[in-house]
Amino acid sequence: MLSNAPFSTAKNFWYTSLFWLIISMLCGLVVAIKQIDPNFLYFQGQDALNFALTYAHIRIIHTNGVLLAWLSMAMVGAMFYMIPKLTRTPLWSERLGNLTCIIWNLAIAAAVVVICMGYSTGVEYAELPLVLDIGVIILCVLMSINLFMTIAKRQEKQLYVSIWYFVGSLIWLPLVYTVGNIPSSIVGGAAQANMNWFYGHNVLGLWFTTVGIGQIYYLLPKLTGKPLYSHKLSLIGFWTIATIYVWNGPHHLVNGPIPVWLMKAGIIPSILLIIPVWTVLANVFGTMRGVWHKVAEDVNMKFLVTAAIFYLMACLQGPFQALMQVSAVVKFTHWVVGHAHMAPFAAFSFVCFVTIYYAVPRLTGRNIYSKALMNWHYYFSVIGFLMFAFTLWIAGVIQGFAWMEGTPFIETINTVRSLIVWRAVGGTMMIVGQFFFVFNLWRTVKAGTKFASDEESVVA
Amino acid sequence: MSDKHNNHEHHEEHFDEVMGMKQGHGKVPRFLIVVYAVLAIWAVGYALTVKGIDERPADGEAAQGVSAEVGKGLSSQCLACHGADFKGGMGGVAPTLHGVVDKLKPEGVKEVLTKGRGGMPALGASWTPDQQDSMVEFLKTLK
Repeated sequence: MLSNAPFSTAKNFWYTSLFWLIISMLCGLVVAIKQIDPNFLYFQGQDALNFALTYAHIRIIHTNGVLLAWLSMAMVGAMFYMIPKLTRTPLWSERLGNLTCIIWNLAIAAAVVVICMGYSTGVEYAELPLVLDIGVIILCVLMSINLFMTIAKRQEKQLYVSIWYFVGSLIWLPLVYTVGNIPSSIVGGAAQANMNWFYGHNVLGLWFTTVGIGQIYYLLPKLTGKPLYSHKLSLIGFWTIATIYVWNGPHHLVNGPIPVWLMKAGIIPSILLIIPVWTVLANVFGTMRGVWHKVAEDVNMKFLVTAAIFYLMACLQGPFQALMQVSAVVKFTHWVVGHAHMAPFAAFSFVCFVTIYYAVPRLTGRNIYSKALMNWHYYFSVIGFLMFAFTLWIAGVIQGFAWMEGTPFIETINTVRSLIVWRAVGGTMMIVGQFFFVFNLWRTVKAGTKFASDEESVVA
Repeated sequence: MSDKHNNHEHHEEHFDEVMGMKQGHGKVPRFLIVVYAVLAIWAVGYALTVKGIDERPADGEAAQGVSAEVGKGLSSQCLACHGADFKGGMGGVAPTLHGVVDKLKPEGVKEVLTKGRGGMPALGASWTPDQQDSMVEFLKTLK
């Protein structure tokens, strides 16, 4: 039952992650529509169904689904592809990898069921009940054993920069996840909130960002055919993200019930975050020198460069809104939702799209079915996201200042209503783009033309 | 690939291969070093000088005076039942508040606020006299 074929783990992670991509994003659309019309998906007399489909449940399925299912699984797939490729060593155990993939999918399915049944810790982004949290940690251990054993058995001693990021991420994720999911009955209060945001922000900073950058460092030289610009910049970027990012959590509690020194201990590293981000981007743009024309020719390059630009924007906006005065306006408004989508969707989901578009032909021996569909995927994702994000940012600023003036809450909702409708339109475009993506990959695997490999067979 | 030859023509652009990935030795751009330095100085300054925002009134609940503005700030409790535009809600159970001050007179409004009436709870029972007067002022603006 468990395949031992080379790279079957990577493929299975990716193929199943596509299913969760569509499901989780549809959940996002449902909550967007529920914000326009709270009676959407309300069925008269169907109490059990209405309970399962309530806003609070669907939103949790959306956030956990896109983060723990789609994005994490796509990234794990990327590591199961890139680590054996880089080390030129077969994966330690494809069987164990496939078992990990099956358990991962079952865990997410179980999470959907228990969330719909109303079980939740009530802690944002850490809603899963304790049993499933332990399951997540076991999954981390299973994949880490597999990937670390592969790296340990490598032929070449020196490690390429992507591997540093992957190894770091695999060590940090279980740590970050554990801290964030310690039950509130043990901690509680403001300390709990602080631990919650240690997790909430570092799962982005020390998992999605770092696995994402590892992928960029792999893809960029491959796609451009140019050497990575600077080894020194790689070193600075890696060690500064490892030391600075971990302090970002408290900026979520600025002006809240924590000591001022702790707020500052969150705000200062949030601004210093510019160091690793600009360092990585200097490396990206340095590598791009002389090959910018490839962006026009290759959809993968379009996605990758756009991702880098959105990463830059997310990491300018993030430090800005960490400041006390800015946070006082935008906190709890629609603004935050716009910001929260930028890095996970427009930066790191884009990177995962490129990884999958790049690797699937090399694993299946088939060309991507349609370049036109790739372009549609790109434009729907980018334009949809821009529409989605800008309407939320505008709505958030209006909301924030109206709240400060003491405008009645319902009045502020009516004020931004039309913007929230346009948000749902943008969100719909984002999802339609993903349908092009999934359809294109499905046709590739079923009916793509023969792909001529451009690299030596690296796995013995 | 063919880039290799091009790169050998430029001495400073030599690169080595790690795990089959080509890796150059470009310099850290000067503007980036400036950014590092500026951020480091800013961080020290911020850590030493900045204080938290505290906009709470100095002596507990400060007197806000009587005004329609203050009343509006309190009105979010009203619209849950009386409708977002205060023209009545809950299928007619909660009447319109437009013209209510003309109908009940200020004293009558304050009586309903503090004692409740029918299905309406005594929402203003714990309010200061200023807050009650402010609510009357706000309700007068609904015409």
